[in-house]
Amino acid sequence: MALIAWHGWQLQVPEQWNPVKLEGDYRRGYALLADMERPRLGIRWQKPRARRFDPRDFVRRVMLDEVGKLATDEARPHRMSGEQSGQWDSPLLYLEPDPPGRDVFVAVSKVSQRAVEIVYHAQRRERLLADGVLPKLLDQPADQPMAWSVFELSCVCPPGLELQTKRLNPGDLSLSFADRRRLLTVRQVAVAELALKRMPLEKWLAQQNKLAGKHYRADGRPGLLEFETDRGTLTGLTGPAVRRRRFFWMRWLPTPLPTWALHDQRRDRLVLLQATDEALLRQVAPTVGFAAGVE
Amino acid sequence: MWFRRKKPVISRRLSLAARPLRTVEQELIETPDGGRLKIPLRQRKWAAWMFRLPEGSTKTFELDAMGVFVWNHCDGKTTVRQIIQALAKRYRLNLREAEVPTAQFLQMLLKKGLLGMDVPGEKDDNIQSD
Repeated sequence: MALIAWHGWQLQVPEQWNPVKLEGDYRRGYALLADMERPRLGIRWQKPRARRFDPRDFVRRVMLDEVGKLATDEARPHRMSGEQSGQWDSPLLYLEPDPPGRDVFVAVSKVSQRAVEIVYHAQRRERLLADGVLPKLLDQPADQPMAWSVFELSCVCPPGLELQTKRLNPGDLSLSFADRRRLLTVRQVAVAELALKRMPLEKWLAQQNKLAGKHYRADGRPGLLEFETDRGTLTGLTGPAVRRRRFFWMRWLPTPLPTWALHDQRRDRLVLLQATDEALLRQVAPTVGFAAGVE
Repeated sequence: MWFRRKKPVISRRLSLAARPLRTVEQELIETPDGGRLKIPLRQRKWAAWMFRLPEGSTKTFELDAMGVFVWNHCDGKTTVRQIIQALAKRYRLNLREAEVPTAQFLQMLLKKGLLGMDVPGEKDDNIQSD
């Protein structure tokens, strides 16, 4: 099974399923997972705005929109199992009696007050959604460290940081997070063996610094870096960048912008990290690739 | 256009079940970074009156290690799906991460005329599926 963690939602799906569409933010969004053949699982979430919000009514309305009246009458309240079984309000599950069709789950999370709708494209009579996906479904609160995991890139971000941009090219995955004062970019390049043949680590570091080159310039020579994590030692380079003098008036941009380029030999990946302060890097770096060991 | 031949549209399932086959006989020259493929250039008849290619002129394609891996698997027996799975296993890549570059690389080789595809019929029973 592979871990998908996106905007607070965490679920485990078969390894062949990968995101093909990722839209929206923490409040409202959509993700579509597909294998090599066809779409498999769709997840839609939103935070209801109504002041007098009734979860049961809301869940029923969402189900009605998705499968129609007859099927909604057949949908049954679902008893959640797993770690956080008590975090769901009014979970409703419809299982297609005559596949191919759609199995649909709708519930409201008590953790973030968001409604989630999961649609599984069932090809044959199976209970993958009910027995495989739903027991591992988790919602993470926004005020706690949040796990992110998409394709092979995974990390845990400190609370408050929101996803700003994503660049998910095959072999070069990058997520950028920000809040009012802080910036954080986590980038992973696969396969390190080939990437390092193409370009040495110093050049990868310089290239990463260049991405912020409009406002920053490299400051001094890169220094060696060795970093202990639970999964072994990461080695690499650190290359600070400083704000260009002509942007002195941009007080909201932090003066130094430390960048790390690490070689994760165990996973054969290059990890490039850039943040507004070194403490943030020290906090996030050990968590990069945490999902590689999740079973 | 009236006389333009329509390109056949094949489904995703069929394209994954297709078997790529090399159309050139030249052997790949292994290099430390991957491989090099030297293909002799053919003079087109209509272009000969404008300019003539020197005798023995070749075109060289530089392939990286992944390219060499895919090229070696284009033997007419291995399907595109199997190549993707083998590549993902060899480099410990996610299937999607292996699929996109493989498909692009195969398309490029097809466009250059270095590959042909053996596409099975829609009702072929041998098409492997999940």
